[in-house]
Amino acid sequence: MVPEYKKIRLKFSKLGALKFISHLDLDRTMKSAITRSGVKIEYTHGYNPRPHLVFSLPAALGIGSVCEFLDIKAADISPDDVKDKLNDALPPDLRIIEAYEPESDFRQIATSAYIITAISPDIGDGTPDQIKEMFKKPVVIEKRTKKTESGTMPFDISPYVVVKYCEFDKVKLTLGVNAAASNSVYINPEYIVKAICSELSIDMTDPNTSLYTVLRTEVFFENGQLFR
Amino acid sequence: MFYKDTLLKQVLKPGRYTGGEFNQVIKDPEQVKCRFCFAFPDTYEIGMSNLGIRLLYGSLNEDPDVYCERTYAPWVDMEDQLVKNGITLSSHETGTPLCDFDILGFTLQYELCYTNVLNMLRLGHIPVLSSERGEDDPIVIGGGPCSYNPEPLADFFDVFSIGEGEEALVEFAHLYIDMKASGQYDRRKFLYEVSKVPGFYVPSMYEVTYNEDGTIKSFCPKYDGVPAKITKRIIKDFDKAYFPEKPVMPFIECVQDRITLEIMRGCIRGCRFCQAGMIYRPIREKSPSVLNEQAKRTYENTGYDEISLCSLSTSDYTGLRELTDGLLSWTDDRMISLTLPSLRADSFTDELMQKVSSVRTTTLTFAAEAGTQRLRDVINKNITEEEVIRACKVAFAAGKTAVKLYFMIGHPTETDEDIAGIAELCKHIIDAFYEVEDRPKGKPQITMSVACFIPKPFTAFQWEGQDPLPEFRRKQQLLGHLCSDRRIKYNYHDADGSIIEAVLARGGRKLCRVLLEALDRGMKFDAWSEFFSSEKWFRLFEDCGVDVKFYAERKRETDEILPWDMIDCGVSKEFFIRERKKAYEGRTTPSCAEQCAGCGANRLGGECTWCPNTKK
Repeated sequence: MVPEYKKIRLKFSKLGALKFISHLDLDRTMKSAITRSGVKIEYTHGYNPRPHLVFSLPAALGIGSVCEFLDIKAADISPDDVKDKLNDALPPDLRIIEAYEPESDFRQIATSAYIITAISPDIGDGTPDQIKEMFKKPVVIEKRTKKTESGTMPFDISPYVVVKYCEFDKVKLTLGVNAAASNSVYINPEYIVKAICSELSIDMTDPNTSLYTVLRTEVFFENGQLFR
Repeated sequence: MFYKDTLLKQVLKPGRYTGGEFNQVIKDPEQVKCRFCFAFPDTYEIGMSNLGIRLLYGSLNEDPDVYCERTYAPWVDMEDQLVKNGITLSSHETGTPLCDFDILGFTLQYELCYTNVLNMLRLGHIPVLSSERGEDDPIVIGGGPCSYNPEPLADFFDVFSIGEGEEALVEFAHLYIDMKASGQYDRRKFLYEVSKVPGFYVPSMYEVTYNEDGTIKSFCPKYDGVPAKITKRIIKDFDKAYFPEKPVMPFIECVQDRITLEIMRGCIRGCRFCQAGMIYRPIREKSPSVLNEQAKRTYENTGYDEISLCSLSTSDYTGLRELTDGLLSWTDDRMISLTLPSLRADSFTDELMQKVSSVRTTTLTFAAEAGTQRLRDVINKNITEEEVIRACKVAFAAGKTAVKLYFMIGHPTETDEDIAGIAELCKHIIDAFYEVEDRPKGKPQITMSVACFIPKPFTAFQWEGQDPLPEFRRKQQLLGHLCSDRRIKYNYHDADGSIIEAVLARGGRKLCRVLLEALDRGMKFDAWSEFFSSEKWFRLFEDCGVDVKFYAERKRETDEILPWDMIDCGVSKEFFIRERKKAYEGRTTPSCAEQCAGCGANRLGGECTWCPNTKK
């Protein structure tokens, strides 16, 4: 008998060492964890059958997240059991936060919220207003693209970035932003960090003095409601 | 304060350096008595694929008194960052700088990684020369196939482990712990004690003198009690040997990322150019039931979807049918594929073909090694053209269009006729394709992969001269001219790498200063074509006054003292001399399964499959 598979959405976090693995490697890591967990999921039907996993737009390399999504199809198991079994099999830096039967589609994701923190001895001089003001004017970065010869092209990110809050505390800057994260426009938060570093004239490359982290906290529908 | 994240954001493939992989071993460093770090002198992706490291990492960590961690050669972008920011190369698990470990172990898999070994010592802030290390520096130990001629690295290593290390290294760590605990430890004393333990070679305890022509005059222990010969260690009962059922799983894609089941050690064939076939003797098989259980548990602990049966010649494993039947009974439903590398053409059957292709398949590769029967007899390959063609036909009938053939050029006694034979054999395989009635649609694709012969220690050809560079190039071109057929894809490497390898493989202690100079010239990653420069190497040898021809091309007399003569790998020198003579007479030696050739490895004991005196 062919088991009846139903779609289950897994909301998961990706932190620590896992921040630094690519989408392809995340896919492999998830597959082996699912196999270890014993959860039976649907395989692709091609010549080389593989576990069928569908990820939402993944956080870029180096970016932590407590809001990633993965859809699987599983048979004869409740979403909560999938969550528990998978958490037993996953490396500690990957955690399933929630599992449920979804009603939406990943293509409906429009924006994403990030918390950016930066630590550097040179940060002290900036002000929150300066950061808020800077995104009211064009902020042109070199966006990576495969279409041009140089591999980059100038791109104004300001229409796609909303600064929600900004705090300066001596050597530390904390910033809350919303940025476009749809299939048509995706703003890598690294661009925002780069633009701010350039505005404040700070260098974030010395591992002995500086650090910045980016954490994806939430994703939203077009209408501003939390994606689910 | 040091922020690792900032460093990781500035390098390619940061997943190489994060650590934190699934199944990595975490212990409290304060609670152990010996901190060991395994260093792999190549990139993470290659190191993580190595079964030896998995075995030793696991067996050392089984011991509650020892904590074994890992480190790999940083890629050049990471090295730049480390140097620029004054950071010491450190371990994956706890981020401990290499200089703070008690013991640092290098695995030596190929000669061209030697420059990386020295570079890693320097990046780990450890004096590169053994003689310059102080009481607080780690003990640096080497092992692996290249340690069968450790002499080119003698000045850099405190000690070498000769043979199989699963048990020996735990013993070594305990000698260290005991001497520390009793307050008797100092570096010299410890190394002296180690030199008396079977299977350990401490280069500084020996003195070498030379003849005027540069050959070795004498090689003697300097102190009483230090043995003149170091006999390699083996695992006596392979069924009971440690097996890593919880291997560390890399997050990023590695060269070999699957369950590797080591089904047997040693090889029954006696190919005369092959070092692995000799140094891993005597032949010990693991029983199919033990392997099946180990595979199941490893699968449960990892979730890998591929199992690879690993040995020097998988089709010679006596329990192959039982093992593959046992594995397929549970792997098939779980979509786990089975791969069998190292198949011999003469034992490749329809049944095996069906088993490997039951879920997914890869290209089939057969090693013919030489183009004519005469030369195959010289090298004792013991395989006929008919057998190669039959094996290819089996593959074609099963729906394959592509097969890959391995050859070597530069074997002793080789003539142009033998070179032509390589092209001929490939053409015959193409003809064979069209003779198969139920062949797949399309054209056959034969990959003809041709390597250069490198004479290696502990083989019947250890005394032979290697072809000079122009001769290798001439033969490579000749073969190119003879193979104009577009259905044959001709792969070969420039021969100069093989010449450098030959020098390092059979060199002595005099090469240490060459390697030291290589370090000062910033040479590293020589196994990578983007970094390897034969020009730099040849200039280096010249500047150091080392004659490449002396090491690579010179034919040695069988009574010459060879740099690796202090090591006893089990197989006797008399056997190699006999085999060499037979090679020149074009006579073959049957495999161990047919008749014992008296190689001598059964002296080492153990539960051997074929050896007459030790057979169960």
